[in-house]
Order: sequence, then structure tokens, then C-alpha cells
Amino acid sequence: MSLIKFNPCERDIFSDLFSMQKDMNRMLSTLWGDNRELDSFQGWYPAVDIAETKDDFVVKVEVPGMSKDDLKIKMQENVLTVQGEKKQESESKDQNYHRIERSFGSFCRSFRLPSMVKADKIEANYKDGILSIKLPKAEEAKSKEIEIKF
Amino acid sequence: METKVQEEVKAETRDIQRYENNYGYVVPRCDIRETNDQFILLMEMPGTKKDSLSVKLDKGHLVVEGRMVNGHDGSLVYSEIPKRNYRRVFKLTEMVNPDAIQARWLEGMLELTLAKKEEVKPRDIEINIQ
Repeated sequence: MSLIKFNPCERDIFSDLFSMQKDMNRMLSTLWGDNRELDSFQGWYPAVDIAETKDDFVVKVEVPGMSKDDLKIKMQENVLTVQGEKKQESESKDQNYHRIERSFGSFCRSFRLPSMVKADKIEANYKDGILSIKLPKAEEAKSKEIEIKF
Repeated sequence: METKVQEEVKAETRDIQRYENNYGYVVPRCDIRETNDQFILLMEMPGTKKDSLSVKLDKGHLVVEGRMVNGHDGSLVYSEIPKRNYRRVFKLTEMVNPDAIQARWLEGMLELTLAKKEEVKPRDIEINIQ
């Protein structure tokens, strides 16, 4: 069972070709020991971990510095979509930035889950910059132990 | 046209990534801004928590470390979050008062406030015109 990165926000033949080109460029620049992708990369997207237990899936999204109102979670059929926007604090006049390394802007990530989940029982928590989404598996998707009779 | 500053920032970001690969820790991304009275450092350190953070002052260097707390039940089916600790070292300027450093934990971000020494703070000088 494997999960594949899927982005419904940009889904056409050209974006696929572009992403293929990007992958090729990345591969080449790694060979030259040079990280050129930074020059072409415009947005950001948070890193994600997905864990599976017997009864549920737990999706963890790294979104430091965001508030509850900036985040949106959607579940449609078996596709979980997490959307959000990280806003930069408004600059006041007496402040000078020496360095801005953090990324800002909106992101949208979707994941097709490998089995059915109970959409009405999904729980989401935000703590220490990590958004955890707990998706309980539907009864028919849970693994069952079968007793052997003899 | 790119300015020199932008180029420098990109080069530094590349250096950060090299560090991460060579030294086995994650360098938290940091914004630094300066006001009249202080420097404010804002670092993104998701996955760690207040008790697992340490900020130390060592021979004029500010050492920020954070232990990753990533326990999860079951097995990972997909993973992008690095399983490494955070570390970053800043060299303090003479302008900073080392006894007045404050730290605040804001849900995945560490904010450090470094107050400037009294003598380097800009002040208004009143001019009396006679």
C-alpha cells in the first residue's frame, strides 16, 4: 500500500510535463552539487507525515506560525485536502528586516487515502506548530483477525 | 534583475542546506528584524516543544537547540518530516546586552528578543534654536 503525492490544484498535462522537467533539473543540479531549484521555486508547501495504525490514519502537517483560521481541511471521497495561508506580519515603520528566511503564502495539498475512512469522525488538532488529523478507518477497511477452526 | 542582496540570501540558503546534509541536524529558518531598542529573531521549529528547547549563551554566541518530539503510533506510510534535531548558532554583536535576552514559544515558533545596550540605542537629541 503506498501513497502518491497528488495536487488537485494544478492538474493538467502541462503541469505534469513541467514537474517532470523540474525533477530532471533537480537531478542534474544535484549532480553538479548546486541547488538551482531555489531560483525557480516560488511557493512553499508544508512537510507531511502519514502514519497508519490498526484503527486509523494520522496525518501530521508542519505548519508553524499559523492560526486555526488560516487552515482548512476537506474530505471528499477518499481524498483529504489541507489548505492554508501563512501571512507575513505587517511591517511597521520602525522595523528593519535583516533576514527573511521563512516562506509565506498559500498552499494546498491533497492525499488519496488507501482505504475508506469515517468522514464524520475526523478529528484535527493543532499543537506546537503541527496539525494532526486523525482519520478513523471505516469498519469494512479494518483488518480482522480470522479464527482458524479445527 | 536580481539585487546583490537577493543573491546573497540565496547563497546563504544553499549553505544552510549543505550544513543540514553534512552535520545531521536541521537549521531552523529564521527571520531577523531590528527595531530601535532590540533585535527580534523568529525561528520556525515545528515538532519540538517548550521543554525540549534550549537557548544558551557561549562566548558571545547564542546557541539554539531543539529536540524533535515525533512519536507516532503505528507505522509511517508516507514521510517528509526529517527525524532530526534543530540547531543554530548566532554570533552576537557588541550592541546586544547579553543579560537581557528573552525567549518565547509561540506554537511551533521560537521568538528571541535581544535588547540593545543603552549606549547604542538611537536617541533623539533636542535642538534648541535660539
